[in-house]
Amino acid sequence: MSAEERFAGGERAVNGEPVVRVRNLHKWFGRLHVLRGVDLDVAEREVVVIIGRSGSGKSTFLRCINFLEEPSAGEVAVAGISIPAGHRGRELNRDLLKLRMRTGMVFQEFNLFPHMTVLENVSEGPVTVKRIPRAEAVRMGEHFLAKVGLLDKRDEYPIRLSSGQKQRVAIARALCMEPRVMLFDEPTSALDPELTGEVLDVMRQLARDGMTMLVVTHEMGFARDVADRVIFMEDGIFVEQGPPDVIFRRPQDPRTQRFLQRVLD
Amino acid sequence: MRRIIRGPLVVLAVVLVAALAATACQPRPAQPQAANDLLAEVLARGVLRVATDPNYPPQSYLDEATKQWTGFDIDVAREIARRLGVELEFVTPDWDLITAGNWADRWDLSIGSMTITPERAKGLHFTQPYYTTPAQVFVHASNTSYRSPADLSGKRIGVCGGCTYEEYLTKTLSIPGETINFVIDGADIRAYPTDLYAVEDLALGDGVRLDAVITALPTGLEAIEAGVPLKPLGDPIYFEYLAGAVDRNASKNPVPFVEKVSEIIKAMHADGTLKRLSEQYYGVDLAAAAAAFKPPPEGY
Amino acid sequence: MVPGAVRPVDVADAAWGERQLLVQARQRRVRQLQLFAVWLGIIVLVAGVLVRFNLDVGFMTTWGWFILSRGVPTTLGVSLASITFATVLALIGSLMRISRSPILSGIASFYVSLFRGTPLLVQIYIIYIGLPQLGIVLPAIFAGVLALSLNYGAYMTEIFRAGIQSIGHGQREAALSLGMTPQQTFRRIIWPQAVRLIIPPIGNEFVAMLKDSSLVSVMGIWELTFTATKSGRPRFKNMEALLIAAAAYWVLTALFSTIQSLIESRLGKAHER
Repeated sequence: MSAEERFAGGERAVNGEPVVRVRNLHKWFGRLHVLRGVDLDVAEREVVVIIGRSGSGKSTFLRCINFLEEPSAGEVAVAGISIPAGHRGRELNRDLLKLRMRTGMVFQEFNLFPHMTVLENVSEGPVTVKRIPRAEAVRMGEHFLAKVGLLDKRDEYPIRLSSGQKQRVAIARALCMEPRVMLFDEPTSALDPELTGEVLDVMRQLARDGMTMLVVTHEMGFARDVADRVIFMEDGIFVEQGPPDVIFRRPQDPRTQRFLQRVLD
Repeated sequence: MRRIIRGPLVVLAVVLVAALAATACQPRPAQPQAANDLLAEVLARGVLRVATDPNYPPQSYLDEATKQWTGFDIDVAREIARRLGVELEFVTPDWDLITAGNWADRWDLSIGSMTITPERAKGLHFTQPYYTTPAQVFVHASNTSYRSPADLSGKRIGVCGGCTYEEYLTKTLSIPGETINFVIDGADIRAYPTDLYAVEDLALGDGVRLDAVITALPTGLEAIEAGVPLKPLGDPIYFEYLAGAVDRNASKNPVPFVEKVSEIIKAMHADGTLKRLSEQYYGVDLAAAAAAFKPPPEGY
Repeated sequence: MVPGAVRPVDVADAAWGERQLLVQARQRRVRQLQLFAVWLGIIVLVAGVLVRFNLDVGFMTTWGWFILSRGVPTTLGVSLASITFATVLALIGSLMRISRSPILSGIASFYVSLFRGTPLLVQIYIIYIGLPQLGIVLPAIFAGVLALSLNYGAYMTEIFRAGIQSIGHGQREAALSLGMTPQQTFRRIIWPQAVRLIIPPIGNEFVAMLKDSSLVSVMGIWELTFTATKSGRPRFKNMEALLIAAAAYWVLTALFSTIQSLIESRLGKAHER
């Protein structure tokens, strides 16, 4: 299978099962109850955008999906790998690695590996995690760098890139693992304002290509244009969700209304 | 391919433990199975390991031209090894480590002009002494006010810490077979790790750091010959008996070995070897008195 | 143009930029010359003081080569072996220190506390005299290397730990999110970045060790200081002998400092704009 075909996404979910399934997720930080029983199904090719104030639990929720934060209670499943909270032991650790391989993540602060060139950054996952021969990993890396428009930067070190370019490399790095779902944790919040456009464009293209995406962002324009579903989150629960038209035009819950009023003005 | 060992930590831990085990086991001297007896072991090994401190001409030092071991002690050790019929090997641990005993079998014998004292005899067996050394007071060459050691009462006197010269000044010295006159009262004792530091300090000038030094007569004379501005003050204040020493805590029984070395030294007194060596290095016979030394009945 | 008026600098002029670069290069050269002159001045001054010591040049020529040829290889060998073992110890120690296991972390922090809290000389004596009580008789040179390794390993454990922990949390998360195991994360992502921070202090430790290795002379190891004192003291030429040793230490440390900065600039490649 060529990289092209891989990216086009040969293997699709069978019998319409959701790619991400979260059940009754709770998270405590000490005495702080940050997630208070969250449920979510994300379907194949669906783009879900989570909005809400800082501190509402959006990022924590996203980080619980690939277990960068350990959920306190509940269950998370990605592409058929299901892991209950409080898991321990070798068997489940192997499941955890499998789940993370199928979940791409893009961070607010990019977190590129500064000691590797751009190409090494994107091919690191396939080589180290998937044990794909380096030559093939390089081909894949180049493919995805082309996809985000940065093939000409392949031999640069991250420090020589602009923040927008860094974030695009980070997206290519995650894509290189051919994930079933991409998690975006405020991908434009750390960017210079004039550079958010290029990153959002890449994300738009990704959505058009049929990638399943779960995005935490403050970019209301992006949510309105790209999302299939928008979720408003506050105090660790999903207050309201629906198609962007409904959420942005006719929000039902007064908390959603208050929030939108503030950010859209 | 799956890694068999998990994590760099485990690999490194294993490597380190193996390395430590290897260094811990490997260098232990090959011990002949024969008898639980140091003499037998030395003979079986074919090598006599002698501790010396090459700091003291003319007893023990490196030769200017050849950079080889040389000196009176060195020649005595060579002769002992020759008469035992074994090779000779020198080691150079700190003097304190030699006199403290508990050598952990690292070497067999000290031939280092060591004075027999009851204190040292607690940790070490002494052989028959092979010569004596006069303890001598030295003052700076420019000094004219001191006539005899008795003039030094209350003065600053440099000695090596823990050696007999310090005991002389504290009036606690006792040497078997010697009656000692303590003529210096209330000295301001300045103890040094070795007499040579004291000599260097006295050389700075009369009364600069020290007023006098007590050291072995040959050591002081050697310094004077090397151009150090000292002069002896009066006659030697006492004589020390200098002998070979063996660790009492050697893992093999050391007594037959000590007796054998004593026997060799007595023979070297009897056939004039020690007298000849003493005259060669010191210009006088310092061996004669040591030949007549009688150890106390309980022995050393 | 009015005579005497200052002609405005044409900043767009390429030659103007070239000239600026030349000026800067000349300023750098002048500064280097000034530094060199200061060093030269101090050296002449020190040499003047040394002349007043009445040094015996004859002794220095007869014994210099012996002191250097016998002492330098031993000093270098002991230091190189010790820094190698100390690095291994520090790597293990730092990993144990940051491990979540209270047993491993406890052992490591005890080790660091003990060996940083006691003098190196005392440790040397204890290893040389104490270990035989347990039936382990190490030859002097091994005891010396062991003591230096343990002592420096303790200091370097803290250096390594700080280096590893200074790598941002985001790096770990990015690696884990790709599906790397914690071991892969450490080996591929954290360690290579930490090394860049750790190398300069290792160089400093090595330079310090070159000098501290003189302490093993108490066990009768013929390293630089021991060889110098045993050559000089019996002839009352201690100053001459020690000056030779001091010069050798100085050359060695300068040499290794240079090597260290070369390695540093190589490692810094990824971080230059």
